[in-house]
Amino acid sequence: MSVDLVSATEPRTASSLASMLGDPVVAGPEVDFQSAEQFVSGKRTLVVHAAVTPGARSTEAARIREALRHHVAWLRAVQALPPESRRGFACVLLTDGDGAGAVVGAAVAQLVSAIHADFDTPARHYAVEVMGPAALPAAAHVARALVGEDPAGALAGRHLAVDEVGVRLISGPIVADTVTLTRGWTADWLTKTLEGKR
Amino acid sequence: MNEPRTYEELAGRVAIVAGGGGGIGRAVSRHLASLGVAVLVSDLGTSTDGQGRTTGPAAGVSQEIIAAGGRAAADHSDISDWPAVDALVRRCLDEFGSVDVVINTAGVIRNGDLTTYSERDWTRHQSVHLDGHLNLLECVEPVMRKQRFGRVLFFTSGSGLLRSSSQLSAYGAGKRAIAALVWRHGTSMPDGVTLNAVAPLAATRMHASRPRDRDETGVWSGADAMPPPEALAPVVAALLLSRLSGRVWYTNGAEVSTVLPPRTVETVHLGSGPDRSELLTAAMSRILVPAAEAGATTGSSLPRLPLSTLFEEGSA
Repeated sequence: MSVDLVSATEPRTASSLASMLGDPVVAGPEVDFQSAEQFVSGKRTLVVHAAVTPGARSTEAARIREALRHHVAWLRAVQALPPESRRGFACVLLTDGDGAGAVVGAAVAQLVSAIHADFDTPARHYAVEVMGPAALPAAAHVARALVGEDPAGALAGRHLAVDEVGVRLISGPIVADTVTLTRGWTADWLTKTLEGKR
Repeated sequence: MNEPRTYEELAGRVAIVAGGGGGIGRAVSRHLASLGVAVLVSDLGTSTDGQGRTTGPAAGVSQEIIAAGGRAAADHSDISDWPAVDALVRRCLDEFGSVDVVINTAGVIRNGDLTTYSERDWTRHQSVHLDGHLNLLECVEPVMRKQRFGRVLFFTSGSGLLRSSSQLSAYGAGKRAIAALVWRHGTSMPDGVTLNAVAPLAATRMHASRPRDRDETGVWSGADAMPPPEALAPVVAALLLSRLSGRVWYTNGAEVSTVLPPRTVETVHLGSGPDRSELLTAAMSRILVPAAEAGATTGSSLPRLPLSTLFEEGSA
């Protein structure tokens, strides 16, 4: 299965991804909720990348928020498709795996997980962190494989990371080391107990 | 400045509690004040979905603290606005002399999946959660670095840490981002300064606004089954005495659990050879899918083994 549509916040990344993915339609970098809906109409597969560009003239918070908004515009557009168009639709969301990009990656992983938690979406979504610019070709490779080689969606809703030589499956956050506060517990006891764990 | 290890040593310090006008923020503000901490109670006074503004909640909590013999002042800053947060921190320094503790319980929630969110809804949601926490961190970090002491405690949520409903997707994404910020920044804070987060479970108006579910026995879950916010306040105060940083803790007032960041479940080394496509295709079904289903490595991607040998006829 080929990739129909690519969108990236950085034009250079968009053109690189497009050339690696068989020259699909390129959307962006300025995409709002409305234009994303128009772009996905009639498409079956989508790969998105949003960078948190260092040095941009805005706060880190604004840069994180903007990258996240870019992903959400596309996620929302896919969810807004009629069910028959969503059936089989594949969407790979690429985020930067380092620096502030990791915060966006975490939020996107949560969104993708939440969309699939309801088990009622006929579309497939994947959150993939790209561990450095040199990993972009490998990420394109993985995106193409997810789109084409996971038709049953066995990895849909999952969080993956890609570096130059491999791909990793990432868990969600893990609850561990529960301390029960029995009657009469003290702050000194709690802090020492927590500090004595990992 | 010495790091307090007891409540007695915490007395006389100064805290900003954002979102301090209601719920957990109110309970924490009152509890800290009872321990002798001066509290700048900051609250925009909005509804749970971020609508409207009123000075009542922050003023009310501040008055309660003062009436009980404590030190407090009310503030109505919008923490999603950087200049307003900068002014909040400067006000705290001017009126109380330091900023030793910053706690951010402020948040908004609006039920609905992605398709029911307008661009404005989404931006507002993330402004409060992402900008609010980062603005506070950016404005207070230089102050605490200079003091060589500070405690920053953010509030995340189980909705951002567990596999939650798409009805809470915007809220969950923002709360997951807060946890990621803590895991990322918390281990590189200046000497004497800590950054942690709490994922609370308590019966607040925010929980009451969330969609409720019945369990298999037909019992409703939700605010009715949860502890009051006051049950969490002593835990929050105790966590301020810890030197740990970069931690996310879940608590319901009766238990405290550490929430560890995501970890690698399985690794597939593809190398750079011409057979990468075939290897990746095979690895997806033979290695990654079983690992995803098991939630653990299947042991089939040991880097010392040539991946291609795993896919030979008859291999496991």
